[in-house]
Amino acid sequence: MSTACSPAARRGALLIIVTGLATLLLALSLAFLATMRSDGDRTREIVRDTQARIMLNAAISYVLETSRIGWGDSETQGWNDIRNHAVGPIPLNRNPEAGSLTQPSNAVWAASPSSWPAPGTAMRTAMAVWTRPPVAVRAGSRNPIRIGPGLPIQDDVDETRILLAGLHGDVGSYRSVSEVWRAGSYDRPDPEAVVDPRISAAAAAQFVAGDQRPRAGTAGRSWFRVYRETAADHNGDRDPYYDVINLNGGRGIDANGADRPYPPNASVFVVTCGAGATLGFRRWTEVVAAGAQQSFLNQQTYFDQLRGTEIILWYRIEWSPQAGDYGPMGRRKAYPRPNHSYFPIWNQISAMPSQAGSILWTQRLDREPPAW
Amino acid sequence: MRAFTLVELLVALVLGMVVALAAFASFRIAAKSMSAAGNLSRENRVIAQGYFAAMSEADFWYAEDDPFAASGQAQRRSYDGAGGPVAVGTDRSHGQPFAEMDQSDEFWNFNLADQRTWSRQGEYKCTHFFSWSTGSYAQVGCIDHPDPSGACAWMHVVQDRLYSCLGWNGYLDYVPSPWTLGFYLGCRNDTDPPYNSFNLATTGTPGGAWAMTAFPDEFWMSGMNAYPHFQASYHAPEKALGRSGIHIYGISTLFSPRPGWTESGANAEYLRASVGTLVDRAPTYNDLVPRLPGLSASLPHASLTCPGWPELSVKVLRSSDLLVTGRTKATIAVSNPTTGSRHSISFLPIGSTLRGARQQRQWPHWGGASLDR
Repeated sequence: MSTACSPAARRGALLIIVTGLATLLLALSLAFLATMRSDGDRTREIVRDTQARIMLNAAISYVLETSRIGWGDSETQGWNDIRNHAVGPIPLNRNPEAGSLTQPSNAVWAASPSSWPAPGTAMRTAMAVWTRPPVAVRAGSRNPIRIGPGLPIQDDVDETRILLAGLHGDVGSYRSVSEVWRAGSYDRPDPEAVVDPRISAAAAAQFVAGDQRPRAGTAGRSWFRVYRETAADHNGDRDPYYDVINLNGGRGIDANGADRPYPPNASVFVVTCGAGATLGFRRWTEVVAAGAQQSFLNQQTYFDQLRGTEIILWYRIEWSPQAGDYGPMGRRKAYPRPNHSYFPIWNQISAMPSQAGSILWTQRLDREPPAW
Repeated sequence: MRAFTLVELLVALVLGMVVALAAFASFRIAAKSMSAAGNLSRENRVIAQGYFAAMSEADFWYAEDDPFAASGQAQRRSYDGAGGPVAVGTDRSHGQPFAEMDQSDEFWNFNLADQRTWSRQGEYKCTHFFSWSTGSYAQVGCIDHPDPSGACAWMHVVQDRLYSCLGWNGYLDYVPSPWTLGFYLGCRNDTDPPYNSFNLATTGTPGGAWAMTAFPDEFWMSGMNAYPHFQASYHAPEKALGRSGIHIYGISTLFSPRPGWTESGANAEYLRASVGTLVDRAPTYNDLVPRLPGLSASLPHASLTCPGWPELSVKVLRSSDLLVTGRTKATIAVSNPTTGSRHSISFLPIGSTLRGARQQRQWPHWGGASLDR
């Protein structure tokens, strides 16, 4: 009477067993995938944080370069002008005394005081790697060891040669081959242009302009913003919360011999470092004002969604016109014992300085600043 | 009903065993994969935790100074050579990186157009510099220099304030680049000792304007490490003009964590770190390497100490040397007791500088300390 061994029952048992095994394997696979997914999320978080921090580096470079190297074709003299501490940047060939020290009429922002880089304004940069940067060059072959006459690499130095040869090792030795400078010529430039500007006027224009198209895979990853603080942002009144020291004080004798208060410190910035695809827009209204809705499918919700997945870090930095540390380049003639006064000291030259000043301090902010 | 034949039974048994074996092998592989994946996942979680802990330390300096508890603020005052607390500016005392400091208004709004910010430190020499006659550059500028404009004294006062309040490492971090490191003390006459910007007598050579000591003894001998750096070598003191120069030939300046935040329970070296540079010239002279455990901030990570989990070690070392001023080096090490593997990752994050960290401690929601004035 038993039906336990009927063919139908056996087929059913086998199905149950196979289904059970498959379910177990599926469960294991799902658990595995979930683990991988959470690991991936965690790794992406680290990558985003790292990208955001790289933006601090980029923003600092931007602040340095725009302080002195210039705006357009104008070389400028610093966020506080090095000539009279006026609120800059002011071109090198323009009078920094024109207007007032807080509203110099020759500042690059004088014509539009509510636009960047005027104090109280912000700029935004979406970072992507250009296909070819402006005036792109490539280095020649490594260490060709072609140096000019009078500079044998096994020779020793004297006052004349060090002027010709530039900066060398920490004791002024010429014996390190790696220290030999490259020597280019007009027919064999080193470095050489990626697009040779000598070919035609069009090529020259391309050389200067570069190719702004973003390289594949580099767009929508990170951005930075720089807000230039007003004097009220760092007058020590604790508003905003990070305004704990008055950075605007000081009084002294200017170049004209007049004793007057220093112009306020205009070299402090709030840097916002972002990793994500919002292109650095702070709000949807900014997107609309810039006419960039298409970058976000014309949907504010999409923009908000992107913002929600971003990592944003805020820092404050202060630019300084100081160009960098002295370096121990060169050496005393011969090998005197320390401080022999009769040996000439001609080696008081600095290491290669920054041509754009330096950053006096950086400070991470733990809360969102009111303006960025 | 037809029963199984023996052959059928044997075949069924063999097939069943094959299926069971295959299933067992599959499950074994799957379980091993899951175990390995889980293990790697835990390692990833630990590494991520270490990464963010290191970044947080780079940004906020918690290991050096606790913003919220006085017990973690050992580096907010001055000490004598034996570690006893003394008033800021006391002779042979050592300021600390988070001590209070008063500076003139001009310092906070640094104005390169003002002649006061221009160097008047000469060539690091005085008339009796290690017994060689050199001339007195202290006449160019010094604390209380008689120049009526005050320009010849300003930089010397500023540097003395930085050094006296913040110690050697704090001074080095705050001093604007590329200032010449060093300052001349004030001197009233040929017999009284020189004095610093706090108007306190400082160990040095009395002798008036023609024999003025270049620096406070502690600054020159301890801070700049004069003996191994200059006297025991053929290197001219003029090379120590700046923050790079002072660090040539294996010399570093470091910060130190507070007690309890060092590596392997080592004694915190914050007093030594504030005294002066550290020399790494093994094997003949090396006071750096043996002290590294007390100079490395080792961050606690109690949230990830479940038994059997990968063990995390996060170290952050803040140093300045010949190539870099203000380097922060983070090292994350993970050792996995299950697999026996050990990984170590080092990187150099950009975080807050000391000046930024001191301002953080003055935020209202961080206690509103008054450190910079």
